[in-house]
Amino acid sequence: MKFFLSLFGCLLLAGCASAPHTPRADIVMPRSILVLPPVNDSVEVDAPSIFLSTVSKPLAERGYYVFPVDVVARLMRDNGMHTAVQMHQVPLDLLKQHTGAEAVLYVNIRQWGQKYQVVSSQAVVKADMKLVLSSTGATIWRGTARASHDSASNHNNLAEALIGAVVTQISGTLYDQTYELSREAIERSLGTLQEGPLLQEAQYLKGNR
Amino acid sequence: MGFQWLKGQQWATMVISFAIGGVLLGAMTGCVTTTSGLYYWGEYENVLHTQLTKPDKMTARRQVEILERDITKATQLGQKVAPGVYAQLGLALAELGQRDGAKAAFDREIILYPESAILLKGMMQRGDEAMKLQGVRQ
Repeated sequence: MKFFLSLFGCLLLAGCASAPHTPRADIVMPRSILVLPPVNDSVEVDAPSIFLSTVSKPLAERGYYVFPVDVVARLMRDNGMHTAVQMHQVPLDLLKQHTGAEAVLYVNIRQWGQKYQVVSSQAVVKADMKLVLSSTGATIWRGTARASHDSASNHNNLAEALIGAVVTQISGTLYDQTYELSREAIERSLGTLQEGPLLQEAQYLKGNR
Repeated sequence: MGFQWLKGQQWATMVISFAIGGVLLGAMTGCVTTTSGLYYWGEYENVLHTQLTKPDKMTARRQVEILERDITKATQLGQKVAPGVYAQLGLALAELGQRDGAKAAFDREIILYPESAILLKGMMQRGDEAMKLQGVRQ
């Protein structure tokens, strides 16, 4: 019995892998996050759109209200802004005035797509993110969403690897692996972001059903 | 103390203890698994993906169909509709010219998520102003 109790105790201390161990005591985390269309430094034209379509769920499940990304895109267009660079230059207080956002997520896509490398075809996504409080301009979190999938990891000999690389590269142009990779990358990166205020509220409501 | 004494009933006890421990641990630390998330997401991400990359591939009518079906499912499951779903529905209804439906959807998003009020009320106001201008021209 003592054996089980001490083991159980160890499990308690281990905790959940995704929850941060030291919540910040100096700031109150924002309730809402405005994700602006990402600035694109990659060669894939659709990268910002794919990123945007996969960021809402992980961020919201972490406990933040994420403004509907399509509505935000339209708001920007309605106000004459057509490039992400222009959108990233809008003053914070103006963003706050028009959306009520307590924080803004600035994203820069660094790498995105299917790279052919003879013995392998690698799908890769990489984006840098910065979370800024709209009231103070302070950066409260930085993260990099990064994930890749390599066709070579499944092959044991050169012939298979060469063929596998070509097949994967071709199928990669027909079926976009980066959509799934984007989700995976963002979810992983949010592990270091403290849970948002909405998490406890939502869990409390769920528990009382 | 070796493991020879762990047999039969004792194995069962250990397995059950770990299982209970695991559940309690999950509940206490707030581990959220993918199957028991905070919200019901349905096809929202796929709708966004299509709207943002290939907008011609999905008509507004189809969007409305998909999102309304998701909302019904969420209600049946007793889960909260995810942030942005009602707002996206509102956009699609507005595109179809169903202004009252669009407003109702936006209002629903505001009720569920008061954080969205400023953004969505602004959108509705601009929509009204645009309609007024059109009315004057006619």
